Parts: sequence; C-alpha cells; structure tokens
Amino acid sequence: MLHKKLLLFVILFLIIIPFFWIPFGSMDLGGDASRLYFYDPASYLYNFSLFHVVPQGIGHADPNFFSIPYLLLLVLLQLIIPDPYFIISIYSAVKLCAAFLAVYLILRELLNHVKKISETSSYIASIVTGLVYVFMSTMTDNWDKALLSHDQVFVNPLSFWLLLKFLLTSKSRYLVSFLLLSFVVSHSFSYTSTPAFFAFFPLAIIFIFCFALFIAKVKIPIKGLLGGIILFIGLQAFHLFPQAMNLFDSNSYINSRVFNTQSIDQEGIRYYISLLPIAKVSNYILLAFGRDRLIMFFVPLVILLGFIFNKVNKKLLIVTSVFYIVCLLLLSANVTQVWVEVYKSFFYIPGFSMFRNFIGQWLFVYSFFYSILFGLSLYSCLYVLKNKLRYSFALILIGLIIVSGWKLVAGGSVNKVLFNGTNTRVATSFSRDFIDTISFIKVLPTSGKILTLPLTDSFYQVVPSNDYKGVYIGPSVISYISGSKDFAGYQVLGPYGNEFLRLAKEKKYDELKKLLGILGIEYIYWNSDPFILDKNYEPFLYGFVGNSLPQSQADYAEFLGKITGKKIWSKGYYHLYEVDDKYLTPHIYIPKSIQSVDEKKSDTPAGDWNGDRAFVVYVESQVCSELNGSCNAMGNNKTTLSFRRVNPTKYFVKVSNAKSPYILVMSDAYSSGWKLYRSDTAIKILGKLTKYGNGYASEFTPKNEFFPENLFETLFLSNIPEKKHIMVNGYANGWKIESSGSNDEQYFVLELVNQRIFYFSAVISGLSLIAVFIWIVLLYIRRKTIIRK
Amino acid sequence: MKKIRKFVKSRKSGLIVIALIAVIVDVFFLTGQSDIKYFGVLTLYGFVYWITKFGSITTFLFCIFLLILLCIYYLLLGTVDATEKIAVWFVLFFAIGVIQKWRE
Repeated sequence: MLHKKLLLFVILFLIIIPFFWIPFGSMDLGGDASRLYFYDPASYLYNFSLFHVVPQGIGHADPNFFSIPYLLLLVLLQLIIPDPYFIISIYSAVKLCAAFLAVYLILRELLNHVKKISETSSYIASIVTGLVYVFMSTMTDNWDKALLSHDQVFVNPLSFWLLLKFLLTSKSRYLVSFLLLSFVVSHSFSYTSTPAFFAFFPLAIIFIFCFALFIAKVKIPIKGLLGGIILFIGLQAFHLFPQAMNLFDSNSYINSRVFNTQSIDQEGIRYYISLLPIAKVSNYILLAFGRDRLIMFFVPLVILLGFIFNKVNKKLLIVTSVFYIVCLLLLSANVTQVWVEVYKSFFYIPGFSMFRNFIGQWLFVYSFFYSILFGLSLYSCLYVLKNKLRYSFALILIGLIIVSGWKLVAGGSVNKVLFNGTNTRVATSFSRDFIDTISFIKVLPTSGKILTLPLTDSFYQVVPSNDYKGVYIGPSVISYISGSKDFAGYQVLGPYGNEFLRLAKEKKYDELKKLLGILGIEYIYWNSDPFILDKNYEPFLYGFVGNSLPQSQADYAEFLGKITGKKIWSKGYYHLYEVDDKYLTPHIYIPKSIQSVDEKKSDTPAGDWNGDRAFVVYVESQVCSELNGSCNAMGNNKTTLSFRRVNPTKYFVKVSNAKSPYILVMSDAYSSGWKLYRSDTAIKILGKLTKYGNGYASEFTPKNEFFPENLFETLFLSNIPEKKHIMVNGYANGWKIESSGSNDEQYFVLELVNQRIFYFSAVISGLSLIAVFIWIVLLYIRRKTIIRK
Repeated sequence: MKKIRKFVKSRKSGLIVIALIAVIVDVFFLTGQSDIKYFGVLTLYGFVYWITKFGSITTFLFCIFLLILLCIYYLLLGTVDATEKIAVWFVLFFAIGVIQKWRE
C-alpha cells in the first residue's frame, strides 16, 4: 500500500508545482515559437495556422496547419478558463504528469514480463524511474519558452506505452487512444517536429517490436496495425499533404534543405562540425551540465550495479542497453574519430541534415532510454534487497532526484532572467496601452506591411510588462495576433536587410523610404519605451543592427521624423505612423516604371537606386530578356487597379485602362503556388476604399475569410501561363499581362493554390476522425455486450 | 593457435590488468585522443575475453572505477580533454560489458 500512497503523492506534487513557476496572473511567453497561442489562441489560429502564408516579413508561402487541433482545444479551454496563467500552468502540469505516468506505466509493463516478479520492487522502480525521466538535467533545461516540439517530453513516452500495450494485448482501445492523442498533438507529428519524431519513433518502434517478438513472445496484430497506420496518415493528412507538396516544390526552403547537396554541405555538415566541440560525452553520462549538478551520477552507478546483481531480467537489460548505447553515440557524436567520420557521412542521406543540431534532437530519446535502462537496473538492485531497505533506498534516490531537479521544481528553469541589468524575467503580461495598439492594428484599412522599431537582429519583438518585471521577447505580436505582416527584425527583411541598414547608416532617408515602398511597408510601429533600448541594450537583440540604426530612443525619434508620414495612433509608448505618401506602395500594384537590374553589379536586385518615382519595380535583366521584350516598355502610367484581400491566400483584382502590356505585382514572397486567373465575369469588390498615388491603385477593406464564397471558383479556370510569372523586386511575385487593347475592365483572381490542398486534406482528416469515433462507439458497444453476457 | 590460447589462458589476469593499466596510463599520462589507442586496447581486451570467456563482472567493476574517476575529474576540472577521455573509455567498456553479459 505504501507504494500506492507514494505514487499518489508524486502525482499531486507534479500537478501543483507548475502553478508556482510564474507569478499569478503572468504568462510564460516568447522564444522562437512565441507561445502567443496561450495569450490569444483564436487570433493565433486565425492568423498563423489557417492559411498557407506566414504572417510576418515578406510573407513566405509556408504551411503551418499542424497545430489546428491543438489550438482549437486551447480556444475551447479559454472559453472555460479565460486567464492564460491558468491555461499555461495546467498545460505544464499535464505535461509533467503525463510524462511521469507514461514512463511509470512503461516500466511496469516491461517488468511484468521478467521471469521473477517482485511487485514492491516493480512499483518502486517504476515510480523512481518516472521521476528520473521528468527531473534529469537533460529534460529540465528546456522548459523556458518551450516550443511546441517540447511536447515530446510527454508525447513520446505516452505514445510508446499505448503502442506497446496494443502490441502486447491486441486491444484496439490502446491503438484508438494513440490515434486520438496523435491528432490532438498533431504538431508533434508535423514538419516542425520532424527531427523529434524521427529521432524517437523509429528507435521506439524497433524496441517495441523486439520486446514483443523476442521477450514477451506475442503475436503481432498485423490487421489492426495496418488499419492504425492508414487512419494515422488520414488523421495527419491536413498538415502532411500540404507539407509534402511544399517539399517537392523546387522553390521552397524545405526542398533545398532536404535535397540540395550544397545546402547539405553548408547547413548540415558544417553545422554539425561546429557543434562537435560542445558535445561532451561526460555531460551525457553523468547527466550533469555543470560541476554543481553532479548529483545524478547515481543513474549510471545504479545501471552498473544492476548489471552486476542482475538475476531476473538479463535479456531485457541487454536489449535496452543496446538502444541506450545507440542513442548515446547519436547524441554525443564524439566517441572516437571513426564515429565522427561515420556520422558525417550520414548527412548525405536525404533529410538527415535535420539532425545537424544533434545535441538538441537526440536529447529526448536518449533521456528516455537512459531512464528505462535505469529503471530496469534499479529493479535488479531492489530485487536483491529486503523490503525495508528497498523503501529506504528508493527514498534516498527520490531525495537526490528532487535536489537535482530543484531548478525545475522551483520554477528557475522556466522563469529565467532575460535582462540582467534590471532583473527582468520571462513571466510577463501585456499593458493596456499595448493591447489597445494591437486592437487598432487589427482594423487597419489596408493589407500593407508594418515595420517595427526598434528593429532587432533576428525576428523578435520586445514588449515589456507594465511593471517591468517581465518582458516578451519573441516573434512579432503584431504578426501573430493582429495578422498584419510585420518586419520586426533584420532576418525577416528578405533580400533587403543589408540594404536597409546601409541606407540607415548613410542617412539616405529618401532612398530608405523607396525601399520601404518596395517591401510593401505602409506603416511604422514604434515602441518608444526607453526600458527596451536605453536601459537594456542587449547585444543578443541589437548587437548587429545597432551598428547602423539608432542606439537610443531619442535617436529613434529623430530617425522616425525623417522616414515617416503622419502619426495615426499613439498611446503611452506605442505609436503607429504611415510612411511618406510619396512612396506609399500598395500590396498589389501595376508599376509606372520598370527598372532592369543586373544582379551581378549590386548586392541586392534593388541596388541600383536610380528610380525617382513611386510604383517602380525592379526586374532582373535576364528575366526581362526572357519576356521577349524590354521591360522598360512595360511601364504603365494610365492603367489603374483596385483590389481586395479575401484572405492571405486569395485576392480579387480589377484592372482598368490596360491598353498596353503591363506587369502586375503582388508583394508577397515569390512562390510558384501563386496563380493569377483571369475571370470572365465581373467580380464585385466591396468595402471601404483607400487610394494610393493619385488613384493609380486602390484597396478595399481587407478580409480574412477562411471559407470565402465560391471557395473553388478558380478550380476550372486557366491561369496566366507560368512562364509569365516572374520574380520582381528580388522577392515578390509579378505577372506579365497582355493588354486587351481597349478600355475594358479586366478581372483577376489571385490565389495561392497550395491552400486548396489543405482544404482537400482537411476533408480526409475529418473523415478519418469520424472513422476513429465510429471505431470507439463499436468498441464501447462490444464491451457492453460482453459485460451483459 | 593452441600455443596462443594456452598462453592467454595462463596469463589471463595479467593481460586484463595490462589492458586496464593501458587505459589508466592513457588517462593520466598521455595527451590527445587517438583511435589507435582505443581500438588497440579494446582488441587486446576482446581477444582475452574471446579466449578465456571471463565474466562481465570484471568489466562492469572496471566501469564503476572509471565512473568514480569520471566524477572526480568532472568535479575538479570540468569537461576537459582528460574527462572526455575517461567518458569515452567508460562508453567503450560498458559496450563490451553488455556484449559479455549477452554471451554469458
């Protein structure tokens, strides 16, 4: 009975501790994933996950559908519990508890198949192993600003246990539970978690099969397994199929990462070699990561003692050891020079470059098999001890585990200091002024992009809390919550990052304003709070851009005076300006002037700054010649255009007075998925009108309709031929369009066809989900019938 | 071959000790990492095991010695080259111990 009380105590302990990690009412946000889905899941879902366009920078076409079920769950949860503090704490508690319980259950199950079973030893070993898994230093140092892929901390062992139980018992309820789990946390099975998935599941599945076939000696339920695989693919179709399309698109980033040999060499092997010096085998064996944290050395010691005293589970111990050694070799990479060379050759396997950050990618699977091996060894040791000694030994180990994982227990691993000078931490909240500013940006009259100042080195936006005890440092809140494409850092300035900094440094403000036009920037957001720049000038935020841009808010005020037009919003430290009218360029336009650029002569395609008008577009000279004519002849002064955004993947466009050929430009990142369809019928474009450049172009109120009217209207329309789809301005989409030769109006639908793939795939996922529910109902009915009989 | 077998069997302990001393010499007195050292010692150790089939307990006890040494080095010097060398020896001997256990 004592072990059951111990188990209950541990579970309660794990549930309670996350509620003390951050102060009541604050949020653990920021990091590369932003975690803004905890703050406003509905907006995050709408702006980031439902459309095939990234809502920041130049708007790359990239599918991010993987988190839809998870975000829907958070939206529902927020209806019941509106405070993000509780949602974040509950979610952390679920992660901790599920991770612990899954490892506990796995060990119980594995030990059920050893020759001689001691129930007490099995219980104690399982509880201690669960705690070791949760609190070992390889698992506790990555809880701050945790990415979605961090869910593998509980998804991996839970999936392992469910699949193990299914294989051992052939009971469908375990398989169905795994399928439902995989659907809810589909981000753990998506492109964003590919390294985590491929690091864990192949090894885990091989282990499960080895165990089932050679140790438990059960018959594998092949039919159920095949059915499960089909349903799994069906459930994940909504994000896997669009991603697969993206993978085979030669223009996509992911394609070059997977198949381009040069990319493999540069990004894979070089990155791997650069990490080798910090891959320390001693750290992984001792689970230490610092001399002051050597407490976990008992884990390898118990493993060795387990081998010495082993009397009951030799086969299982050996099989697990093999998996542990494989994981250690993959994680450390530094075990002998021969292994370093062999490892290097792995990067030529397509896709293996995802493991270039081998330390981060293999850490979880290593920790998992290390824990299991520890648990089995601990059982061997406990088996030879007397009952009282078993409990004493276990309590000592639990004490050591808690001391070792104290940083996580006390919240130090989560609420880390971000600004040392002012002791500003991760836990933060947004001020009323900032929230109002975001609300204002949400209803801006055009779909123009925003430049966020102070600009950072990467893509982070910095937003302090009201009391300055916390700060948000992560991807732009403007992008993910308001939906406007925002340039918050140098890295997202597309091909113009260096050009932007050069012009700012040389104080060429007029040319800088032209550059803003080329990027489609219509607004400039400025956070004038001295706290984020003057008081906390952090090199990791401004170290690079600070060489060219202002280093204080006073200098920024002067800088803004030179490049902005009128101020349209101001509240507290948060301001929003329009850019200078003269260079204001809409998201979709017909250029009045076309400059042919020889890319070799300049750093960027827009390096030749000889255009003196707005609505100028830069096209590479080679592309111009391929279009069968001089680009300069296509400059068009009389044609006018109006458009409306239906959603980030679809626009309606009306062109008038097109008497000569022209180029139609759309300032989102070039992708072959963008297609321009000529519509034979007039399209009604409604809404409030915003005019640009004396009426040469105008935009109607932008929308964000997920299910627009006539969803598949372009399905049977023929698009403007692909050879006339060109890259302009070094990043954007352009189409050469022949004129109608009259004053007639021309109507177009501009659509990113990849979004269609998502709609079709979502139907497959929906049907698969229905099939899973029907399966659950059938299982329930069968169970009821058996009980009645 | 018979002579070699006889020689190895008669000097089993001595050969094992030589292999283990080689590890200690490498850790304490030699600088730099070389695969020749690792595989040379492991070949000798493996060969003695192949001939004499001595128990895995010897290897695991030596692993415990290496672990204690590793902890001391880690505590005093951190992750310096010598600590890493001990860690690599630990991994290699642990792998041999697992193979021995499997063969027992």
